Amino acid sequence: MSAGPRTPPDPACAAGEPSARAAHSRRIDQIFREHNQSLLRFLSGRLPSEQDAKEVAQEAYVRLLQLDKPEGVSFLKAFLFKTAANLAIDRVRRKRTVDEREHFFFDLSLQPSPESAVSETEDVALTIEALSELPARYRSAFLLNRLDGLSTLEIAGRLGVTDRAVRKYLVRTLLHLREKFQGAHPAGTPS
Amino acid sequence: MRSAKVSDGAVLEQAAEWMVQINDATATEADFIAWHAWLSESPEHAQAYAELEDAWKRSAAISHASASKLASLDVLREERAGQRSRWRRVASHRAARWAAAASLVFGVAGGSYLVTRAEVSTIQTATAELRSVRLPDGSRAALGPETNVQIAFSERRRSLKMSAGEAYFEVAHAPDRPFSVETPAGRIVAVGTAFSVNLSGKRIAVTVTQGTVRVEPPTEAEGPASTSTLPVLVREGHRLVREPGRSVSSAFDAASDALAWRQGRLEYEGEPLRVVVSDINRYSPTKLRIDDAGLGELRYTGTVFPDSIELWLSSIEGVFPLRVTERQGERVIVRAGR
Repeated sequence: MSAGPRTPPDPACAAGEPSARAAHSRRIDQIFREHNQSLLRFLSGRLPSEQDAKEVAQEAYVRLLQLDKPEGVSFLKAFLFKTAANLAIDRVRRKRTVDEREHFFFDLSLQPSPESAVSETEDVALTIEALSELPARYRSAFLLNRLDGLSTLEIAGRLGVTDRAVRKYLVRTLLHLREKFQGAHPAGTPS
Repeated sequence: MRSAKVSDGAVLEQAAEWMVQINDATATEADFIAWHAWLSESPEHAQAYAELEDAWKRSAAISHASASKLASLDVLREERAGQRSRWRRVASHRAARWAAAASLVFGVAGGSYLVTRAEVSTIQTATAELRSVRLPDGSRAALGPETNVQIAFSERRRSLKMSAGEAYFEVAHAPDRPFSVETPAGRIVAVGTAFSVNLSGKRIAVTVTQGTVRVEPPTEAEGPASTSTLPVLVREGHRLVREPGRSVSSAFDAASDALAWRQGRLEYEGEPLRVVVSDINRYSPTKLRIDDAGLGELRYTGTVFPDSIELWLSSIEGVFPLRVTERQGERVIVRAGR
């Protein structure tokens, strides 16, 4: 880095002409409006709280705006989800490493509200019940995936089965969980 | 809205396969494109996916389950035990990553300033300016925008005064010549080490990437003795945030974050919004003000690119209950719905 003021990358250069940049911005704005809900749903199952999901979505949106070259909508959409997925993985890993060192600086405002805490306990019980009804390999695959964040390939290595088998275990477990939850009250709605 | 759940078995199974695919760490852009295409193929697909998404999300509650409950599932325990050592290994590579991050910072040393042997000199950087300086003892400093550092070195000590801004120091080893940075929010003393200082009014954040530093309270500390008036040692890999009445030390994981500002990126993890805004203001001639103390305390995690502050501002309106408004020629962050 040389002395004197740094020349910031010109945002107009990043996506070609200023008008191309503006079009890029508009396209992303549109994607954000149309897909933000689906992105938040996608993220909320992977992160500890709704606020985490919102923050990761925002970050993914900012990254999308920083993209160098203008792209088609379907690629941008995919890039948004892919970026968000990576950010979610990073965030979960970081939280875990920090937790392991026994530093807890959780913001109290991010703790679940009492009502959502109740339905969460119910969900824990239902999940455990559902898992206990499945073969041990299914359970192992599910917990390694959801609690430890391992990919299907890594789980395959651990369990000594094929990647395809692991995917099948996870699919079966998900279908079983869906049935289990459907038999109970839906979360967050008055019974 | 939860509509009646009528999805048939085959579609549900496809939906579950998609869910496994796109939630896997190995999912690619192509997978997301194909998944979006599948979702929009028919309303039944979207419906089936939504049902499974609900199950996926609710089953995430398993992470709140007690250890004994998990044990009752008779999981292959050694499989999960093996996982823990992986995180340890990650942690042990930290030092190497810091070294890499630091070498990025000073990667191009050729153009850096050499502060001459003058007794006292002052460096003041402009709005949005980043500058590297070499100090008389061979130490190096990377200065952020709107940063003021006064250098007063003698044979006995290496003293700096920093009145505003942000700076990263790589201190040349000289045990008999203490290196100190005096700020309005406290004094940092180092021997041979590397650390970053971020100053925002009476708040100071010291991030240590190498060695250990001692942070002392400001010399004109007023009021009765409290935790924040005692000196604190900050070790490698730790970050101390001190402000009047409060002092918190925590471990940090990503060294690159603390130094990211040198690469034109500001990285935050759980930082109060007021600190983020104070940083941003050093990059922009138009200053932002937060109108509401509560908003200033909201925790922000993410990246800000100082050359696209407008985009960042419009995007945080969706994350926090706030709105950016123009008021008598001033940009103000106010609570949404006011």
